[in-house]
Amino acid sequence: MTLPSSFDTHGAPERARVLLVDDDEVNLMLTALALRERGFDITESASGEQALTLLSHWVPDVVVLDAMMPGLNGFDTCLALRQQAGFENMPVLMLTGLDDEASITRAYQVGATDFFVKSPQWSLLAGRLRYLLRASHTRLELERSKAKLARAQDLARMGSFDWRLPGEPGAGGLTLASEGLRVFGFGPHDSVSLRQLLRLVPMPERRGMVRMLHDVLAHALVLAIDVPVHMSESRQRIIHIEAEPEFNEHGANVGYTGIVQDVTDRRVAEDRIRHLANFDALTGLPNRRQLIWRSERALAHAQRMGHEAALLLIDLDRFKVINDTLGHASGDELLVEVSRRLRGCVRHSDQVLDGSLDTMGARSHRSLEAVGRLGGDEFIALLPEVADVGDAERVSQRVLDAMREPIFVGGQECFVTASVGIALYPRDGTTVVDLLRNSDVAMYSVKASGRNSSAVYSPMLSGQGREKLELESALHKAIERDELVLHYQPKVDVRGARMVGAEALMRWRRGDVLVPPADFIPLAEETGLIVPLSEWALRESARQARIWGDSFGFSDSIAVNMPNRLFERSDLVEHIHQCVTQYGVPHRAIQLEITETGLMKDLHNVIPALHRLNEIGVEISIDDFGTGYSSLAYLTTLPISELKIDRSFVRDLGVTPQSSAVVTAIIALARSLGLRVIAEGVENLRQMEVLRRLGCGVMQGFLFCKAIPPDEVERWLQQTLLPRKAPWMAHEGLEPRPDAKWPEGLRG
Amino acid sequence: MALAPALDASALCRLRQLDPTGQRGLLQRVLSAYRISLQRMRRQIDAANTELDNNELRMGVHILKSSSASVGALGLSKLCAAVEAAIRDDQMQALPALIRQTRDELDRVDEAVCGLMPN
Repeated sequence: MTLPSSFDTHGAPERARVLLVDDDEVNLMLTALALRERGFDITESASGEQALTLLSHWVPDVVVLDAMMPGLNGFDTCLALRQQAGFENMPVLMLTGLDDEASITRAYQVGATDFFVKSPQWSLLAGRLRYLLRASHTRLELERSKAKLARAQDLARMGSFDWRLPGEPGAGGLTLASEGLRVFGFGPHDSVSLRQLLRLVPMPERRGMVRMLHDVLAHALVLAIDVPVHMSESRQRIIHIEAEPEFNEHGANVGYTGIVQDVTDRRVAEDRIRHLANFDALTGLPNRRQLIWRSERALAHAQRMGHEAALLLIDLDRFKVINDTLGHASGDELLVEVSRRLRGCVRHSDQVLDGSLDTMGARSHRSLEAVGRLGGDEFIALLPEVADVGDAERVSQRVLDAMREPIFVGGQECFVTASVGIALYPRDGTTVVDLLRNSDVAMYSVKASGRNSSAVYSPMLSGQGREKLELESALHKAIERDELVLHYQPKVDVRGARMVGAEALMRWRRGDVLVPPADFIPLAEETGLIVPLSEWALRESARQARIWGDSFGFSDSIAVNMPNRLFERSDLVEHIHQCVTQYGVPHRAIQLEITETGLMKDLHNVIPALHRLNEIGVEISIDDFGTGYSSLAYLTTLPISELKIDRSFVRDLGVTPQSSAVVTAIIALARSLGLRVIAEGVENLRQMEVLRRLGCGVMQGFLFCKAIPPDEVERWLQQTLLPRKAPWMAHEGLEPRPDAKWPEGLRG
Repeated sequence: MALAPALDASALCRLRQLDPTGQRGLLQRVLSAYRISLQRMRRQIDAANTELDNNELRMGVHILKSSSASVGALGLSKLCAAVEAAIRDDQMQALPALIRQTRDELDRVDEAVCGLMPN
């Protein structure tokens, strides 16, 4: 180790301080002189007593003692010196006579560092002193280094040990350094045997450890294990033991040398990390990763043993509504309670699993059983072994039952239901991915058929799903491929047999098939494709208004159905502006129809757009009026121009008195608010007549014309409306006009 | 047999080298101290003859042995070592003769030392 210069002790005093003790004046004088000549700083003392007095307040670097002195001789002086604090390791050189073996032996006994035979060859003495000083310096460094190591080991809760095998020379069994003793909770002077240490290990682990020790010994293997140790009643620690075998010159294993370390904190942290990686922080349930891991193991086991397994995908119904209305904190609270209930529906095991199952016994796959959280409000129940589909259905029924009791969150009772999709191994898939996907398909079929139930996967369900997926993908491309078309249904003022506008209705020409709106509009709404679709419809309507304007002087408006989410787009007004500008038609050429339900659901977000549209001259018509729950208070202030009586009331006109009562009320309301009123879905003369009687003259329906392509609209105008050839016109008392001129006659 | 010189010339030479210019008067100081040791020894031998206090004698010869070697009185140093060994090894029959020899050599060395002293 290289010490920074400020710590470097090599720069010890240049002249080493030597205390020279000799009772013979001649020797003292000569030796002192000779050593001074050789660079030592000599302090002379003529007796042992005098030397000890000196040393009580001064510390030299080395002491040179004449062995034979009257009074306190060199040996006794050395003994006394060693007992003084701070002089335990002081280098002491004892001067003895030649051939005086007894003195030499005695010198070592009393703690002298070395001896030197008295001789007038002082250079030898000087050499020996330098050696002693260097050795002392090295020893000091070693002591410091040992102290540092001990401190470091102490901080790391680590200590070394040495284990001599029985029957080896110097067999001392187990020797733990004091730091090692501390790791096990012993004092530095305690003597501890291997047997005592083993007794600290709790029973099942102890047996395993003994077995392992035998094995390690038998093959002279490297030892590296973590063992739990009971220090006291309350303290259990994890001790890491790592040791390497030592061999004698014959290659025989004579023992082990190694370290012990308290790794409890690390293990706790590792366990925590493992837990965080495998369990959901909110609910404490196994997370996606852990679930997939468990599922893979369960499938492997099922395959090996030839039994069935099941995956249940559990999705809470309308959880988003709860989250949105009660807030995320309550949503979380609810998820925690749901998790608690779900846990009770299976033999849930919380064990963190990432080892091998093979070591865990035949029934171990049972410990894989769990409910986990995939994310959001989606949960999975893994049943590693089921006898048949009935087993899985019973568990799913338990899940549905568990939800029945209200959950108290955010200060109120919530009723939660779930949709459960079941997939079975191997019938519905042999991989976790397949089973997850198919349980998802089954779950969605539950959602589609009203939620709060469970369904077992069947390939038929999957077919529906695939169809939907294909449809979605094709719809994406429909706009760019020009597959969408608008058909138009004229709005007719029956009193003068005039077309007063048209409603644009979207059709999808997919190959040879014309897909009706009911088959793709809901999907477009669901996927968000409705936005580009509606934007396209606006542009196309503006284009058509221009064509008709040029062709026969069309100056009314084309009504385009708008989903309410489009009103939330800040660029709707700008978009319409662009469309009409592009084709050189006035803003009023476009009318927007919004359903009453859509309007009321999102009133606050829609109102600002309505005002802006109204300002630029785009009229708003309320579609399906009478089916929603309009706030009359709002209705009076909304910038709307037209109410469209829903076809359901029209259908029953003349059949049930209630429907004519509703229609009467709507017409009265419209009149008092200064709104136009139009009836849609008019199919027969009876309906037309009643509407006329009740005061509604503008209508739309099969009686007049179904929705048709734009060029057919022209033909209809030319061949039916203008010459007044339709039966309803006769009913209205309008004379046929076979000579009416196109297109001027339209305005007549 | 011709007697060796009481003081070894090379040892004296080594002593002189410790104080080459003689400025510190080292040789004089050393020899004075050595003479005191010699006189102390002589008194001790004389007393030991009567009281046979071998421990005292052993200490005496031990000290004189090494200081004699230092100043070059090699013969005396050897005799001191022999006396010390005889006492240590409990060879009392050899002791009187050795003591006598030491006493004689001591006188001879003292005379030589005196010769090196300025007065």
